[in-house]
Amino acid sequence: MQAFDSEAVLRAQAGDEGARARLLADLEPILRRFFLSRIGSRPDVDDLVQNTLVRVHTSLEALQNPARLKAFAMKGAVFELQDFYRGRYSGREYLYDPDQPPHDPADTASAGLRVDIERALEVLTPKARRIIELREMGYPYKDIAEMVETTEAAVKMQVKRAFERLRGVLTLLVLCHVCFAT
Amino acid sequence: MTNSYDAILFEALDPAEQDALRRALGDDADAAEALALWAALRARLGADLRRDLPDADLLVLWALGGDDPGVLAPEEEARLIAARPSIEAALAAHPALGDVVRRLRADRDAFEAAWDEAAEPKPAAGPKTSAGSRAGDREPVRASGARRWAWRSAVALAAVAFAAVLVFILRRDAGFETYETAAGETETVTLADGSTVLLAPSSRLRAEAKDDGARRVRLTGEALFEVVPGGEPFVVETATALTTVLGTTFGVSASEIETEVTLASGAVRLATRLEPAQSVRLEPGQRSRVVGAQPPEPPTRADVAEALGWTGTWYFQATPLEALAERLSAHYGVRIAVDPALAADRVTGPFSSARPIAETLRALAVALDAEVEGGTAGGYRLVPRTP
Repeated sequence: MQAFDSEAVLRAQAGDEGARARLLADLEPILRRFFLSRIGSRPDVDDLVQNTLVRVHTSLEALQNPARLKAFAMKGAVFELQDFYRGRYSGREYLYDPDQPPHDPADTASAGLRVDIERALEVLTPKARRIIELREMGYPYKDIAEMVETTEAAVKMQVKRAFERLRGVLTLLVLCHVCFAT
Repeated sequence: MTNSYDAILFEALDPAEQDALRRALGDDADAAEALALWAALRARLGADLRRDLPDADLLVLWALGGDDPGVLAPEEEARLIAARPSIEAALAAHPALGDVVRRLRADRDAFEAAWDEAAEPKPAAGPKTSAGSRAGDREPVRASGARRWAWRSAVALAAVAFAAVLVFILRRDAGFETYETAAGETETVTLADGSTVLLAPSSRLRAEAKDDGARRVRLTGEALFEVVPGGEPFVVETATALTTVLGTTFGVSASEIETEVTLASGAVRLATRLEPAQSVRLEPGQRSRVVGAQPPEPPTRADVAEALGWTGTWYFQATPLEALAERLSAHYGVRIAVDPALAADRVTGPFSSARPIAETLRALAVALDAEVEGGTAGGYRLVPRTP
């Protein structure tokens, strides 16, 4: 594609508006194909494509080697996808506003709850921990299933089991409190 | 409350649903406590991740440039060099980060596929039909009746014969993939678990086709392994040795009588095949060798950049800057001087030997808080950054 030739990229970097417009126009269908392949057909693809084009447009001058436009655009698209995961999915299951940063348990939890968390961590299986960590990084369960090479239903079953184990820990703790109290 | 847990655990709740949940939890103290603990547990795991990997963008750079340093800009490469130990520690502590690395590399591959697809020349447009079918999908020329049937019969017979051979081959190699390189050829292989292998010329690798948890490959020849962390140890079988790793970059050179392992990063254990208890542990920058049935040689210091130079990437391990500059000078054919104040500084990390010298020096300068003076004609000089 001529718009991606080193000379065309250099012209775009030097202020040739036509070269820049052609470069972004040729990049658009590539980005669309990429994001469609990663998150499927959904309205967010338009935002991701636009935001990546803005990234490339505003930072094109920082590209030191015009022959590396492909790697440059690829990094922009992958970073945009990461932002998408981090921003749109993280904390959705919490009762508080998901757009707010997750709270730090050390700041808000009572001493008793912190002890309970330590106990809960002890009973968490490595697989459940891995799934919850991936969820905390913003990946939806469907993607997590692909990442750990199982089905979405199996992933959710792991989460439910982890939650039930945690309820068991709570019951045990209550019983212990009763034992010590008597 | 139990029936509504699924929605709470897996669905995004709108404000009205959240209000309804709050009211329900107000009437069920046990459920409220369980959900509070669940939220706190998740927040704790998230906080631990952020503590061990404060800058998540570094993991992206690690994934995209870890097996192909040419992808990174010099400044990104410098950031990665500085953060390498902490990233390796985070990967070892959180297996989920290994999953993310594999995912990011799949993202990279998907982008490159989209790019390559766009770069492919489009088929010439043919006459449009009323049904709207694509001209490029149609046969360009159609044979006449009798010749067409004869041709089809021959093709069918050939297909049956080919299928029989294929079934034989598939049965023989069921569950395995074999990769071979010819003389003068290299090939990058991505294994089912996400680990990558760069095969040197005239080498052969046999690996499980599917990720069933067992991570074991068989090598004849030479290869560079970049192993992602995973549940099971990764084992490289050669004629004389077993090399066991947990997540690392290392080169193996194997013939029928000896196996030599050079470690770039991480840790590996090298053992003889006949007596696996006879083993040595290699640290980054070390090499060892198994000859025949003899125990592994004690690890010694290796010139990792030299040993793995065939990969197109230099793996420097605590290499003094002066020695590194000598290697760069020899490779690029330009003089590279180092200020005495920097000569003893040590550098660890991968550098692409295909990258222009100016970019490599810029990456080094950023990592070492130094500056690059001079240019191509009179050579370069690395000096401490002036405040």
